[in-house]
Amino acid sequence: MQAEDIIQQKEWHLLTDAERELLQPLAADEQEFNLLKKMLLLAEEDAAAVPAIDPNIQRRLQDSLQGKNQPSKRRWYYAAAIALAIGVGAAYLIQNRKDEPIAHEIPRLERNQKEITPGTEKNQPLVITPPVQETIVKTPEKKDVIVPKVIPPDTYVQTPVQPPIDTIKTNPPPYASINTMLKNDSALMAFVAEAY
Amino acid sequence: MAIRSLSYHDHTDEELLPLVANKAAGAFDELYHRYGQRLFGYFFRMLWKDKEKAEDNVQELFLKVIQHANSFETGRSFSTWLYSIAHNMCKNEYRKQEIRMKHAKTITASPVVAKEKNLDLQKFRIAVANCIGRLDEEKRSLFVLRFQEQLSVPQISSIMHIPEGTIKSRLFYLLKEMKNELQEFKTLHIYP
Repeated sequence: MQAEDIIQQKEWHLLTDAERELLQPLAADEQEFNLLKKMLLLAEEDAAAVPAIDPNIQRRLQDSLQGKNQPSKRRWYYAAAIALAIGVGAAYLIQNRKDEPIAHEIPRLERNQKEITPGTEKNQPLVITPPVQETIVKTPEKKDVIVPKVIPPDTYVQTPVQPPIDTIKTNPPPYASINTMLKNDSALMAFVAEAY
Repeated sequence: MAIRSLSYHDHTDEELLPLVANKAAGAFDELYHRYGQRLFGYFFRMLWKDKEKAEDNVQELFLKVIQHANSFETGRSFSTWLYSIAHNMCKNEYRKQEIRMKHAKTITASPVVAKEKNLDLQKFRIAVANCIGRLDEEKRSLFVLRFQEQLSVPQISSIMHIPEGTIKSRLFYLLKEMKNELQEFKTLHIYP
Protein backbone atom coordinates (compact mmCIF):
# COMPACT_ATOMS: atom_id res chain seq x y z
CA MET A 1 0.00 0.00 0.00
CA GLN A 2 1.26 3.46 -0.89
CA ALA A 3 1.77 6.18 1.73
CA GLU A 4 -1.08 8.25 0.26
CA ASP A 5 -3.39 5.22 0.33
CA ILE A 6 -2.66 4.67 4.02
CA ILE A 7 -3.37 8.35 4.77
CA GLN A 8 -6.63 8.30 2.84
CA GLN A 9 -7.93 4.99 4.14
CA LYS A 10 -6.74 4.68 7.72
CA GLU A 11 -6.84 6.58 11.01
CA TRP A 12 -3.72 7.35 13.02
CA HIS A 13 -4.55 5.09 15.94
CA LEU A 14 -5.19 2.17 13.58
CA LEU A 15 -1.79 2.29 11.91
CA THR A 16 0.56 -0.61 12.33
CA ASP A 17 4.19 -0.08 13.33
CA ALA A 18 5.30 -0.84 9.79
CA GLU A 19 2.90 1.74 8.39
CA ARG A 20 4.01 4.37 10.92
CA GLU A 21 7.60 3.69 9.95
CA LEU A 22 6.71 4.03 6.29
CA LEU A 23 4.96 7.34 6.97
CA GLN A 24 7.66 8.68 9.32
CA PRO A 25 9.35 11.02 6.76
CA LEU A 26 5.96 12.30 5.62
CA ALA A 27 3.89 12.47 8.81
CA ALA A 28 5.88 12.19 12.00
CA ASP A 29 2.93 12.67 14.37
CA GLU A 30 -0.84 12.53 14.47
CA GLN A 31 -1.25 16.23 13.69
CA GLU A 32 0.75 16.01 10.49
CA PHE A 33 -1.03 12.81 9.55
CA ASN A 34 -4.42 14.46 10.04
CA LEU A 35 -3.32 17.54 8.13
CA LEU A 36 -2.46 15.42 5.10
CA LYS A 37 -5.65 13.42 5.48
CA LYS A 38 -7.79 16.54 5.50
CA MET A 39 -5.91 18.04 2.60
CA LEU A 40 -6.57 14.98 0.45
CA LEU A 41 -10.20 14.90 1.56
CA LEU A 42 -10.66 18.55 0.54
CA ALA A 43 -9.01 17.84 -2.80
CA GLU A 44 -11.54 15.06 -3.38
CA GLU A 45 -14.42 17.34 -2.43
CA ASP A 46 -13.04 20.00 -4.75
CA ALA A 47 -13.00 17.46 -7.57
CA ALA A 48 -16.71 16.86 -7.09
CA ALA A 49 -17.46 20.60 -7.18
CA VAL A 50 -17.12 20.99 -10.92
CA PRO A 51 -19.83 22.71 -13.00
CA ALA A 52 -21.78 20.70 -15.55
CA ILE A 53 -20.47 20.66 -19.11
CA ASP A 54 -22.46 22.46 -21.80
CA PRO A 55 -24.87 19.88 -23.33
CA ASN A 56 -24.49 21.49 -26.77
CA ILE A 57 -20.99 20.10 -26.99
CA GLN A 58 -22.35 16.57 -27.29
CA ARG A 59 -24.73 17.65 -30.05
CA ARG A 60 -21.95 19.39 -31.95
CA LEU A 61 -19.75 16.34 -31.62
CA GLN A 62 -22.56 14.12 -32.88
CA ASP A 63 -22.93 16.40 -35.90
CA SER A 64 -19.25 16.17 -36.68
CA LEU A 65 -19.37 12.39 -36.22
CA GLN A 66 -22.19 12.07 -38.75
CA GLY A 67 -20.70 14.49 -41.22
CA LYS A 68 -17.18 13.40 -40.53
CA ASN A 69 -16.37 12.62 -44.15
CA GLN A 70 -18.15 15.65 -45.58
CA PRO A 71 -15.21 17.98 -45.37
CA SER A 72 -12.95 15.51 -47.17
CA LYS A 73 -15.60 14.93 -49.89
CA ARG A 74 -15.96 18.65 -50.29
CA ARG A 75 -12.23 18.95 -50.54
CA TRP A 76 -12.24 16.44 -53.40
CA TYR A 77 -15.00 18.32 -55.17
CA TYR A 78 -13.08 21.57 -54.84
CA ALA A 79 -9.89 19.91 -56.12
CA ALA A 80 -11.77 18.45 -59.10
CA ALA A 81 -13.36 21.81 -59.89
CA ILE A 82 -9.99 23.56 -59.73
CA ALA A 83 -8.37 20.91 -61.96
CA LEU A 84 -11.22 21.28 -64.47
CA ALA A 85 -10.90 25.06 -64.50
CA ILE A 86 -7.15 24.80 -65.06
CA GLY A 87 -7.71 22.31 -67.93
CA VAL A 88 -10.28 24.51 -69.62
CA GLY A 89 -8.07 27.55 -69.21
CA ALA A 90 -5.06 25.78 -70.66
CA ALA A 91 -7.07 24.52 -73.65
CA TYR A 92 -8.39 28.00 -74.31
CA LEU A 93 -4.90 29.46 -74.21
CA ILE A 94 -3.57 26.82 -76.64
CA GLN A 95 -6.45 27.51 -79.01
CA ASN A 96 -5.70 31.21 -78.99
CA ARG A 97 -2.09 30.51 -79.72
CA LYS A 98 -3.01 28.66 -82.97
CA ASP A 99 -5.15 31.53 -84.25
CA GLU A 100 -2.44 34.05 -83.81
CA PRO A 101 0.83 32.83 -85.42
CA ILE A 102 3.91 33.54 -83.48
CA ALA A 103 5.94 34.76 -86.53
CA HIS A 104 4.38 36.51 -89.49
CA GLU A 105 5.24 35.35 -93.04
CA ILE A 106 8.40 36.92 -94.34
CA PRO A 107 7.51 39.30 -97.18
CA ARG A 108 8.78 38.39 -100.62
CA LEU A 109 11.91 40.15 -101.74
CA GLU A 110 10.98 42.48 -104.54
CA ARG A 111 14.41 42.97 -105.95
CA ASN A 112 14.31 39.58 -107.76
CA GLN A 113 11.83 40.16 -110.51
CA LYS A 114 12.06 36.71 -111.94
CA GLU A 115 10.51 34.01 -109.92
CA ILE A 116 12.47 30.80 -109.79
CA THR A 117 10.54 27.60 -109.49
CA PRO A 118 12.79 24.63 -108.96
CA GLY A 119 12.67 21.85 -111.53
CA THR A 120 11.03 23.85 -114.33
CA GLU A 121 14.09 25.23 -116.03
CA LYS A 122 17.36 23.48 -115.63
CA ASN A 123 20.62 25.38 -115.46
CA GLN A 124 18.78 28.59 -115.34
CA PRO A 125 21.20 31.22 -114.24
CA LEU A 126 20.25 32.99 -111.17
CA VAL A 127 20.04 36.60 -111.99
CA ILE A 128 20.68 38.74 -109.10
CA THR A 129 20.45 42.33 -109.80
CA PRO A 130 22.50 44.31 -107.44
CA PRO A 131 20.53 46.69 -105.43
CA VAL A 132 20.56 50.21 -106.61
CA GLN A 133 22.99 52.01 -104.51
CA GLU A 134 22.36 55.53 -103.66
CA THR A 135 25.39 57.72 -103.61
CA ILE A 136 25.11 60.52 -101.26
CA VAL A 137 27.29 63.47 -102.12
CA LYS A 138 27.87 65.67 -99.27
CA THR A 139 28.64 69.25 -100.09
CA PRO A 140 30.27 71.27 -97.40
CA GLU A 141 28.07 73.87 -96.00
CA LYS A 142 28.75 77.42 -97.06
CA LYS A 143 30.12 79.49 -94.30
CA ASP A 144 29.60 83.24 -94.06
CA VAL A 145 32.86 85.02 -94.98
CA ILE A 146 33.56 88.04 -92.91
CA VAL A 147 35.06 90.73 -95.14
CA PRO A 148 37.33 93.07 -93.22
CA LYS A 149 36.39 96.71 -93.36
CA VAL A 150 38.85 98.86 -95.27
CA ILE A 151 39.85 101.92 -93.33
CA PRO A 152 41.82 104.77 -95.08
CA PRO A 153 45.34 105.10 -93.69
CA ASP A 154 44.86 108.74 -92.79
CA THR A 155 42.35 107.87 -90.21
CA TYR A 156 44.64 105.49 -88.38
CA VAL A 157 46.66 108.07 -86.35
CA GLN A 158 45.14 111.16 -85.06
CA THR A 159 47.77 113.67 -83.96
CA PRO A 160 46.67 115.83 -81.13
CA VAL A 161 46.32 119.46 -81.97
CA GLN A 162 49.06 121.46 -80.20
CA PRO A 163 48.06 124.83 -78.91
CA PRO A 164 50.26 127.81 -79.93
CA ILE A 165 53.27 128.42 -77.77
CA ASP A 166 52.21 131.96 -76.87
CA THR A 167 49.14 130.71 -75.18
CA ILE A 168 51.10 128.58 -72.70
CA LYS A 169 51.12 129.95 -69.26
CA THR A 170 53.88 129.00 -66.94
CA ASN A 171 52.87 128.96 -63.34
CA PRO A 172 55.22 130.93 -61.02
CA PRO A 173 57.23 128.86 -58.50
CA PRO A 174 56.01 128.86 -54.92
CA TYR A 175 57.50 131.36 -52.48
CA ALA A 176 58.61 133.49 -55.40
CA SER A 177 57.00 136.55 -53.99
CA ILE A 178 58.63 135.88 -50.61
CA ASN A 179 62.00 135.51 -52.26
CA THR A 180 61.66 138.81 -54.06
CA MET A 181 60.59 140.52 -50.90
CA LEU A 182 63.63 139.21 -49.06
CA LYS A 183 66.00 140.26 -51.83
CA ASN A 184 64.53 143.69 -51.84
CA ASP A 185 64.84 144.13 -48.10
CA SER A 186 68.63 144.64 -47.69
CA ALA A 187 68.45 145.45 -43.99
CA LEU A 188 66.72 142.20 -43.28
CA MET A 189 69.24 140.35 -45.38
CA ALA A 190 72.09 141.91 -43.50
CA PHE A 191 70.50 140.96 -40.20
CA VAL A 192 70.02 137.40 -41.26
CA ALA A 193 73.57 137.20 -42.52
CA GLU A 194 74.84 138.61 -39.27
CA ALA A 195 72.82 136.34 -37.14
CA TYR A 196 73.72 133.33 -39.19
CA MET B 1 -30.12 9.29 -27.87
CA ALA B 2 -30.55 7.63 -24.46
CA ILE B 3 -32.27 4.59 -26.03
CA ARG B 4 -29.51 4.19 -28.56
CA SER B 5 -26.79 4.34 -25.92
CA LEU B 6 -28.62 1.78 -23.78
CA SER B 7 -27.75 -0.91 -26.28
CA TYR B 8 -24.07 -0.08 -25.84
CA HIS B 9 -24.21 0.04 -22.06
CA ASP B 10 -22.52 -3.33 -21.60
CA HIS B 11 -19.77 -2.69 -24.10
CA THR B 12 -16.29 -1.91 -22.89
CA ASP B 13 -14.59 1.32 -23.99
CA GLU B 14 -12.32 -0.60 -26.30
CA GLU B 15 -15.31 -2.32 -27.90
CA LEU B 16 -17.08 0.96 -28.44
CA LEU B 17 -14.24 2.66 -30.23
CA PRO B 18 -14.40 0.65 -33.50
CA LEU B 19 -18.14 1.35 -33.54
CA VAL B 20 -17.41 5.06 -33.22
CA ALA B 21 -15.03 4.71 -36.15
CA ASN B 22 -18.01 3.35 -38.10
CA LYS B 23 -20.04 6.42 -37.12
CA ALA B 24 -22.29 4.64 -34.65
CA ALA B 25 -23.95 7.54 -32.86
CA GLY B 26 -25.07 5.41 -29.92
CA ALA B 27 -21.58 4.12 -29.27
CA PHE B 28 -20.25 7.66 -29.30
CA ASP B 29 -22.97 8.80 -26.88
CA GLU B 30 -22.04 6.01 -24.51
CA LEU B 31 -18.37 6.97 -24.57
CA TYR B 32 -19.24 10.62 -24.10
CA HIS B 33 -21.54 9.72 -21.22
CA ARG B 34 -18.67 7.85 -19.55
CA TYR B 35 -15.92 10.39 -20.07
CA GLY B 36 -17.40 13.74 -21.10
CA GLN B 37 -18.04 15.21 -17.67
CA ARG B 38 -15.04 13.45 -16.16
CA LEU B 39 -12.62 14.92 -18.67
CA PHE B 40 -14.31 18.28 -18.39
CA GLY B 41 -13.55 18.12 -14.65
CA TYR B 42 -9.95 17.23 -15.38
CA PHE B 43 -9.53 20.13 -17.81
CA PHE B 44 -11.41 22.45 -15.47
CA ARG B 45 -9.04 21.71 -12.58
CA MET B 46 -5.94 21.67 -14.71
CA LEU B 47 -6.72 24.82 -16.68
CA TRP B 48 -7.22 27.34 -13.89
CA LYS B 49 -10.94 26.55 -13.45
CA ASP B 50 -11.71 28.21 -16.75
CA LYS B 51 -15.04 26.68 -17.86
CA GLU B 52 -14.90 27.82 -21.48
CA LYS B 53 -11.35 26.63 -21.93
CA ALA B 54 -12.24 23.29 -20.37
CA GLU B 55 -15.25 22.89 -22.68
CA ASP B 56 -13.22 23.79 -25.74
CA ASN B 57 -10.63 21.22 -24.80
CA VAL B 58 -13.23 18.51 -24.21
CA GLN B 59 -14.72 19.18 -27.63
CA GLU B 60 -11.30 19.12 -29.26
CA LEU B 61 -10.40 15.92 -27.46
CA PHE B 62 -13.54 14.08 -28.59
CA LEU B 63 -13.00 15.33 -32.13
CA LYS B 64 -9.58 13.72 -31.98
CA VAL B 65 -11.20 10.52 -30.75
CA ILE B 66 -13.58 10.57 -33.72
CA GLN B 67 -10.80 11.28 -36.19
CA HIS B 68 -8.30 8.78 -34.80
CA ALA B 69 -10.66 6.03 -33.67
CA ASN B 70 -9.19 3.76 -36.33
CA SER B 71 -5.62 4.30 -35.18
CA PHE B 72 -6.28 3.22 -31.58
CA GLU B 73 -3.92 0.42 -30.55
CA THR B 74 -5.87 -2.65 -29.50
CA GLY B 75 -4.70 -3.99 -26.17
CA ARG B 76 -4.21 -0.54 -24.73
CA SER B 77 -6.57 0.98 -22.18
CA PHE B 78 -8.92 3.50 -23.77
CA SER B 79 -9.15 5.65 -20.63
CA THR B 80 -5.35 5.85 -20.39
CA TRP B 81 -5.17 6.80 -24.07
CA LEU B 82 -7.82 9.46 -23.51
CA TYR B 83 -6.08 10.88 -20.47
CA SER B 84 -2.71 10.92 -22.19
CA ILE B 85 -4.22 13.01 -25.02
CA ALA B 86 -5.80 15.29 -22.41
CA HIS B 87 -2.50 15.52 -20.55
CA ASN B 88 -0.70 16.61 -23.73
CA MET B 89 -3.39 19.16 -24.47
CA CYS B 90 -2.95 20.59 -20.97
CA LYS B 91 0.79 20.78 -21.56
CA ASN B 92 0.14 22.82 -24.71
CA GLU B 93 -2.21 25.11 -22.79
CA TYR B 94 0.46 25.64 -20.14
CA ARG B 95 2.97 26.52 -22.82
CA LYS B 96 0.57 29.04 -24.34
CA GLN B 97 -0.15 30.46 -20.91
CA GLU B 98 3.56 30.74 -20.18
CA ILE B 99 4.05 32.80 -23.32
CA ARG B 100 1.06 34.98 -22.42
CA MET B 101 2.39 35.48 -18.87
CA LYS B 102 5.76 36.56 -20.22
CA HIS B 103 4.03 39.35 -22.10
CA ALA B 104 1.35 40.27 -19.59
CA LYS B 105 3.40 39.90 -16.39
CA THR B 106 0.21 39.73 -14.36
CA ILE B 107 -1.15 36.66 -12.68
CA THR B 108 -4.83 36.73 -11.86
CA ALA B 109 -5.44 33.39 -10.30
CA SER B 110 -8.04 33.49 -7.58
CA PRO B 111 -9.14 30.17 -6.15
CA VAL B 112 -12.80 29.32 -6.49
CA VAL B 113 -13.80 27.58 -3.29
CA ALA B 114 -17.13 26.69 -1.80
CA LYS B 115 -18.37 28.86 1.09
CA GLU B 116 -17.93 27.26 4.48
CA LYS B 117 -19.64 27.90 7.83
CA ASN B 118 -16.50 26.98 9.68
CA LEU B 119 -14.10 29.87 9.08
CA ASP B 120 -11.03 27.83 9.86
CA LEU B 121 -12.10 25.19 7.41
CA GLN B 122 -12.81 27.93 4.86
CA LYS B 123 -9.29 29.31 5.34
CA PHE B 124 -7.83 25.85 5.02
CA ARG B 125 -9.79 25.18 1.86
CA ILE B 126 -8.49 28.40 0.31
CA ALA B 127 -4.95 27.56 1.40
CA VAL B 128 -5.19 24.10 -0.20
CA ALA B 129 -6.60 25.59 -3.41
CA ASN B 130 -3.77 28.15 -3.46
CA CYS B 131 -1.24 25.45 -2.79
CA ILE B 132 -2.51 23.38 -5.74
CA GLY B 133 -2.68 26.52 -7.87
CA ARG B 134 0.99 27.27 -7.23
CA LEU B 135 2.13 23.83 -8.35
CA ASP B 136 3.86 23.65 -11.70
CA GLU B 137 2.27 21.80 -14.61
CA GLU B 138 3.92 18.46 -13.88
CA LYS B 139 3.13 18.40 -10.15
CA ARG B 140 -0.40 19.63 -10.64
CA SER B 141 -0.98 16.95 -13.24
CA LEU B 142 0.27 14.35 -10.82
CA PHE B 143 -1.89 15.65 -7.99
CA VAL B 144 -5.06 15.92 -10.10
CA LEU B 145 -4.64 12.50 -11.71
CA ARG B 146 -3.86 10.73 -8.45
CA PHE B 147 -6.03 12.47 -5.84
CA GLN B 148 -8.85 13.95 -7.87
CA GLU B 149 -9.24 11.61 -10.82
CA GLN B 150 -8.34 8.71 -8.51
CA LEU B 151 -6.17 7.01 -11.13
CA SER B 152 -3.69 4.35 -10.09
CA VAL B 153 0.08 4.74 -10.24
CA PRO B 154 0.43 2.38 -13.25
CA GLN B 155 -2.23 4.37 -15.13
CA ILE B 156 -0.50 7.67 -14.35
CA SER B 157 2.79 6.15 -15.41
CA SER B 158 1.26 5.22 -18.77
CA ILE B 159 -0.37 8.63 -19.21
CA MET B 160 2.68 10.69 -18.31
CA HIS B 161 5.22 8.28 -19.81
CA ILE B 162 7.16 8.18 -16.55
CA PRO B 163 8.25 4.99 -14.74
CA GLU B 164 6.07 3.86 -11.84
CA GLY B 165 8.88 4.18 -9.31
CA THR B 166 9.42 7.79 -10.33
CA ILE B 167 5.69 8.48 -9.99
CA LYS B 168 5.65 7.06 -6.46
CA SER B 169 8.69 9.06 -5.45
CA ARG B 170 7.28 12.26 -6.93
CA LEU B 171 3.97 11.75 -5.17
CA PHE B 172 5.76 11.31 -1.87
CA TYR B 173 7.75 14.54 -2.27
CA LEU B 174 4.70 16.37 -3.54
CA LEU B 175 2.73 15.51 -0.38
CA LYS B 176 5.67 16.51 1.77
CA GLU B 177 5.97 19.85 0.00
CA MET B 178 2.25 20.57 0.37
CA LYS B 179 2.26 19.54 4.02
CA ASN B 180 5.13 21.98 4.70
CA GLU B 181 3.21 24.79 3.03
CA LEU B 182 0.13 24.08 5.15
CA GLN B 183 2.00 23.75 8.46
CA GLU B 184 0.13 26.70 10.01
CA PHE B 185 -3.10 24.66 9.89
CA LYS B 186 -1.60 21.79 11.84
CA THR B 187 -2.88 22.96 15.20
CA LEU B 188 -6.18 24.42 14.04
CA HIS B 189 -9.29 22.52 14.96
CA ILE B 190 -10.53 21.88 11.47
CA TYR B 191 -11.14 18.19 11.66
CA PRO B 192 -14.64 16.80 11.88
